[in-house]
Amino acid sequence: MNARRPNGSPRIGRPGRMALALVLWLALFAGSTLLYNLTFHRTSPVLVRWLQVAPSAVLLEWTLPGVAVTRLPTALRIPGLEVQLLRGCDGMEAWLMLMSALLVFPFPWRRRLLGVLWGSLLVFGLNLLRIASLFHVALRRPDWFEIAHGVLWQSAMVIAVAAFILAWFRPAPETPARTGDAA
Amino acid sequence: MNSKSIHPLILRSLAAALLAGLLLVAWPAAWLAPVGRLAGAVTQRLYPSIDNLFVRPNGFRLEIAGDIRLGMILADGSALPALPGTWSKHGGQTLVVALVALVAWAMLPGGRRHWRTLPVVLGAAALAAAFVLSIEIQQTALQVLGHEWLPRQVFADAPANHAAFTQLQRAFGTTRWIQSFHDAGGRLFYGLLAGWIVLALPAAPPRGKN
Repeated sequence: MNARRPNGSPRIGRPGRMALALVLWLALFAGSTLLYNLTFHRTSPVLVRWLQVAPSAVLLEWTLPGVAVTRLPTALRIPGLEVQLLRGCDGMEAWLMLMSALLVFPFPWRRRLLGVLWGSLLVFGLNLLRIASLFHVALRRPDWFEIAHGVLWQSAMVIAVAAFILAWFRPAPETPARTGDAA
Repeated sequence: MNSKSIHPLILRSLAAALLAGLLLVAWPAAWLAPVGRLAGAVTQRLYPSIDNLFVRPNGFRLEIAGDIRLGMILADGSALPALPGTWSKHGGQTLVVALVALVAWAMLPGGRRHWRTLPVVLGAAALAAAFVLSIEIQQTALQVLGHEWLPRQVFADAPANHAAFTQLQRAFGTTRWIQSFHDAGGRLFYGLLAGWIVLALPAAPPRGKN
């Protein structure tokens, strides 16, 4: 992150290579999103019920002491409120965005694999916070729910993914100036 | 990843989010007006059946008006008249594309030279937001056509009508798929790409050198 190109951008790659990487990133993210949408009915028991509903219920029990939180296959319920977890509420879209970036950007393979691990933890951790906080918003300020759900948290997830990708680029060592003609 | 590199990144992101958020909330029309005009141009290029499209900001909302013209023939032999339509949409999603683009751009380190790339980022973000808005306009128009208006008409059994129906079905399928991608984070992803488009720009030569 310290090394800079003359125009001030970080030394992530040559401009032409970066342009190709951005196009590939878009294509891979769009393709994987399509695949996710098509297979959601099969993956939702794992992605929603076990990876989101169950841990979010623990978070809610911790933040709502004395309130019985019921775990439904795709929803969380307390007396007087039920929040459904639909397609996209599982954080998979942000995860796919991050994974496709790790594939297309020029990372060493070891760093890519570590990125998969830490990035997955970041995205799913943030998503649990998102679900729990949205539950509290629905409980206390239901009129704020739409903006918190559709604008604030969606933007926060994308920005978090972007920050992770940038931070994952190690500072490139400064190349010592070469003397003599290249030709 | 080290704290020296991550702290400035987070600070720049927060500062950009705060500043851009305040500006977009205080003057939404400054963004919505040019994006609306651009969306009109994009829509007429992508889906020429929508004619006389007019997009005007009204606070956080966008007022949209236009005529839908299809080259179809009714059972009595007359041409299907143009269907005038007016819609009103919240501009929040269009504003968020700008916000994400500006935050993504601010994440990249750089000094004064980085500021020179801001117009490119704003242009790319406006184009992305216009494309998103255009798909929403097309999707709404096609839904109104397919579910409400066309079923009430009696059409002639003409090849031109069959071709027009096929074209409508194809357009509906395409826009529905793109819309589902946008809803699945694609909209904000465009904002991110717009912010990082500067990485794909050739480096400016240092001043004073050829």
